[in-house]
Amino acid sequence: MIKVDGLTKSYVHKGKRVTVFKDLSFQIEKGESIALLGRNGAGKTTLLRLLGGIDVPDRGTIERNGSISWPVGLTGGFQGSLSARENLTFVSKIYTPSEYVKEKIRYVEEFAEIGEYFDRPFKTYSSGMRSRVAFGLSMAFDFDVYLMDEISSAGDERFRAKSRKILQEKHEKADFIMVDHNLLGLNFYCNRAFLLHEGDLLQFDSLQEGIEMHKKLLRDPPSSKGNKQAGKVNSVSLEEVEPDVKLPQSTAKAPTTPPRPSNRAQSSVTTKRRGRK
Amino acid sequence: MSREQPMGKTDEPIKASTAAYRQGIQSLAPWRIQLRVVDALVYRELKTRVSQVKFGFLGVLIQPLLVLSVFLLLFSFLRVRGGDLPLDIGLFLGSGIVLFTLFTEIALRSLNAMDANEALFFYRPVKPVDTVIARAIVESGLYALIMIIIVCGIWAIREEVIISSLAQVVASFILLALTSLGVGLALAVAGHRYPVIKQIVPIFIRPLWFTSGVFFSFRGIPQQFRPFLSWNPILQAIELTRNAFSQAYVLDPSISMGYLAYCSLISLAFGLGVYMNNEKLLLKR
Repeated sequence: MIKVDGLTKSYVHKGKRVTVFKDLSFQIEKGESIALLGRNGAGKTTLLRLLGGIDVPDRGTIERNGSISWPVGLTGGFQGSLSARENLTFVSKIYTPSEYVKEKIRYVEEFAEIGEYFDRPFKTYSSGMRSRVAFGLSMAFDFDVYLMDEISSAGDERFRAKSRKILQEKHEKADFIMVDHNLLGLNFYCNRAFLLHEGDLLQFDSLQEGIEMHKKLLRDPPSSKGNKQAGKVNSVSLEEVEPDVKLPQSTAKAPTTPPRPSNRAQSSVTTKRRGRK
Repeated sequence: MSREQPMGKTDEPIKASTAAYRQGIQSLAPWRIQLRVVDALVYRELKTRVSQVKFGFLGVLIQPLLVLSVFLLLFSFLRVRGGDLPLDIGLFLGSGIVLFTLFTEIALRSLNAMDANEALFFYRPVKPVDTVIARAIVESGLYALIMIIIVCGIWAIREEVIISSLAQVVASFILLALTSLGVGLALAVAGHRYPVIKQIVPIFIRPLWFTSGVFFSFRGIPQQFRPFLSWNPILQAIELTRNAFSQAYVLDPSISMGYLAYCSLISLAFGLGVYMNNEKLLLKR
């Protein structure tokens, strides 16, 4: 369970204080997986970092009951001159008793399937290899809640299928909090949606509602809910739309996703968007 | 299909011990978590150092040893005529250079510890203080080893080395390392808050090189100037080490182990105090 009360976060850029969000309060029960929605720069990643305890809020409290992962698939903590094995040893030494370290590494080695590269310096890896190792590392440990910020679907189809399988396995015991601009992926795991919009957090008890609202906000100018009037507003909305235009492409690329009833609603929205264009 | 097989096999033992992991790191006492984190950081730091030079671990030792031998050559030529030292010139300079470098390395590396390890803080058990401690441990280990190499080297050449008090050598080394850790902690915080400090500190550390008694014996300077220098814990540690190598190397009354211990205590308390008040700030982006 995660309980958040009065969470406020701002940062100072070039002497100006920018508030990311203000006074957020919410509660995530065990068994609930959350999709974090919002346009680029709405503060999704910031909120994720705060929940993970990586960043410190200006005000407010976060109560965590249970373990929370680091953002899944992040490679920032990896030292480029060290091999995957050495980098993994470092992380495993922190999270497990020393007698299990070897076991964890063997698990990731077999999961990542990058062959002899496993013992070469990390900086020589392709981005695909990097994400294989980093994703494997996150999956090697059991957390109560996994934080996922745009976990990329790197790798070939077989690897993706394997990743999806293991995510599903994890999902049986653990909850996810995820950010994903490829909205389709959220369907498999999330049963609630949080939408970050202009420093506020809107909660939806169904993912579909949340996604609908998210799309509506992307399409329409953020501040005026009615028709567009000013040219300025128009230009803003154009910008906002852009990231989502990619959606049809990535859906086409996504391999053999198990069909779900909610999928249909999703695709109908997509076609609507296409039609508008 | 056949490649899928080994995956399944390795899955088994991991799942079997899952219960143990589930308790995981959260159920551990804070000091045990910290112990694990520092251990992991030391491992990472050492591996990184080794990976960045040639010849493996030897390469890490070569650079400071080279610096030392250059100084040794230089000063043994200069000192040969006045050679009335009660201590072997190698031990005399060795203890000076090793202890001084120990201090500056810990202080300067701590200064940059925050930047270098920033990305590690998303592994939540890792706290900024751990990175500074880990660096201090690595440096201490490295320079302790170098000290041992020097003593062994001189023993090989002279065929005799007398250490009057090994305990005093070890104690002054550890106390100086602790003093440096305290200073390092304070510098890590200061450098993060005011980035200018990262440029200023290296400049101000230079003069210490000349006032810490690296190249001269404390009793060699005029009585009236001694009080201006004797406050310096680096000088205290260096003098104490020389005295520990040979009782013939007489100490000035203002040099004492008690004072050095006092210094390390104050420095640690100060460093930790500064750190505790700023820990949140160090994690803030």
